[in-house]
Amino acid sequence: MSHNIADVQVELKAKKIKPDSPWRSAFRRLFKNKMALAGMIVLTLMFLFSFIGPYFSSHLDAKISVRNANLPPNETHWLGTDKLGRDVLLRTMEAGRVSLLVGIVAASIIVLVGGTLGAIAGYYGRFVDSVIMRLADILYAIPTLPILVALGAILSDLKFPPDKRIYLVMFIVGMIAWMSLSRLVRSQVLSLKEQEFMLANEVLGLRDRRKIFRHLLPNTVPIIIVAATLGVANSILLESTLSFLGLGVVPPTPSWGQMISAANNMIDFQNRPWLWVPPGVCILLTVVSINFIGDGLRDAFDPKQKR
Amino acid sequence: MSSTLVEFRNLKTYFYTEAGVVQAVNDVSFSIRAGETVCIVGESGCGKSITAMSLMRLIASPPGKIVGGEILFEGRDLLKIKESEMRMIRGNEIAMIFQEPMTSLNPVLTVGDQIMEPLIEHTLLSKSEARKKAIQLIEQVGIPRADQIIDSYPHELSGGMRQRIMIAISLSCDPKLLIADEPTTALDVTIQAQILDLLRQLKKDRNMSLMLITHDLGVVAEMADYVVVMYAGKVIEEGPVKEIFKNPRHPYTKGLLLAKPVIGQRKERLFTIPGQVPNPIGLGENCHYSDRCEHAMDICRASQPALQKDGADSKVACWLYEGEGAK
Repeated sequence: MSHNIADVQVELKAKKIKPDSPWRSAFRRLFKNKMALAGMIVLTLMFLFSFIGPYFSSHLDAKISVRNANLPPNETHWLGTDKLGRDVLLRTMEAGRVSLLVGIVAASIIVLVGGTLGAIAGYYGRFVDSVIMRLADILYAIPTLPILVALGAILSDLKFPPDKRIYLVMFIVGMIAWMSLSRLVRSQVLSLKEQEFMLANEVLGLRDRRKIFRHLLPNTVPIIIVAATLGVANSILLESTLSFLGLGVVPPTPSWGQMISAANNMIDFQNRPWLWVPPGVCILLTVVSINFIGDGLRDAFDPKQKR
Repeated sequence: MSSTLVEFRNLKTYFYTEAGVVQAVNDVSFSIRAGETVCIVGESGCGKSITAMSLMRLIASPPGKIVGGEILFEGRDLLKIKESEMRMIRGNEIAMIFQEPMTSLNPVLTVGDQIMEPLIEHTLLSKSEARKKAIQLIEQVGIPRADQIIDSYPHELSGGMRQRIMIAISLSCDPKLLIADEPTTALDVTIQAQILDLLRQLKKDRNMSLMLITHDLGVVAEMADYVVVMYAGKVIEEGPVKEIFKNPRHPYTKGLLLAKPVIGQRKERLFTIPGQVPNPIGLGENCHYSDRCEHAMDICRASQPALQKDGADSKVACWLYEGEGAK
């Protein structure tokens, strides 16, 4: 009988020491971080709000009606209506789809392009390094907004179809922001490749691709994750800026920045806050919660950190 | 004994620095036979590790360059084959472990991932087969609970365990030659003995050759079949381990053996070889050891002795024995 108990105890102990899979333990740590958890909840709500919310709106099929224009918040239009009589709540939701999508896609481009180019530049050094880093320098040297203004003008000139313009905005926003990440990754790779484990990999006869993507890049995950989350937030802001300046998403496609820009006159600003406060609050909440998640992820993915 | 696995022929590896040319490995020739343990002994900076890195063709260039000689591995000159072919040899036929088990493992990958990597790279095993093999390897290097250890990260393991994991990684593709570059220097003495036992056992089981780089003569006595003594980039004496320990010829080898503490004999001071290792830049045509040698003669300061046969299996490069071998 006592034998059995001992066996059970040993079994329990063995279960307890069994190492978690790296993803599970990282997420466990992430969920312990209260700020990150709050960020995730807010962001999830934001996604639900933007992507599923519109289906619950009773104004989904409503047509533009000038009779209902500029109504303050009331029972049928909880956040009022804009100057074309569209429900602001519904429009904020639909704008969220665009803004969140732009943020995520642009950040993915930043991570893919910036991470890969940075790692390649750092790993191969010499000529490859010079070419990639000078390219980054050149792109860095041109101020962001003038580039965007110029590109926006060119696009308008080329009669680029407005409904496809959103994809181009994502691409542009990503392509002008990858340099800082590539510099960070490159500098990390430069120091990592001198580490003894890289020599050990060399001795094992691993391929360059494997060394770069399996050994070097995972070591830079903390900075990539932080850069990616900041990238999402920055891209949302940049898209808002662009749309505000009339260079980004073209109406009738809504985005948060574009909604604010629609209210950029004194009368709207002073007398009709329901036009610009909701999208503004959405941008703020999204960006802040993404940044919290980014911090949490960085802590969670650092394998050297004690639980 | 058996067939020759690796043969160094007049290997010369130089480093071109701003201060001048460093002849890190200068005209080194010796061979390693299949299933044999060859120890390379010498002071720090005498070219032991550079010899091993030359064999792996991992000399950082610039500043380093293999300027001459041949390294024959199973009859093929490794210095002439393509980089892609060399990559297939590294880790697959020749494996290497390093001094620092603490930094030789990638901190962000589990040890299992790192053991499986060469298997996936060099063999046709699938991922799940590679994992099974990895668990076997971890068991073979004497770590209990292999199925749990495989998923742990390097920082969760002790130094001795990490070195065992390094050995498991290097053995994963059944190499014919294992180069161990001071594998026990960073470990404490009891672990050291365990690791050496493990290496000896694995070597015997797999009938592989071992090229052991060390400055610890205790390790040499325990492990070696054949000893190569290096000084200032040159081989100055080589021979079977018994011959070297019983009957050292070169004054430097004698000095090294005298400098070793003997258990049970208490001495006030251990013997030290007077002087310093010469500056590796701009070495002259003299015997590099002549400044520190108590038997130095005029000829020693004028020209270098050649490595000559002396006795049945051993060779020595010293003017003291010049002409004796011919007798």
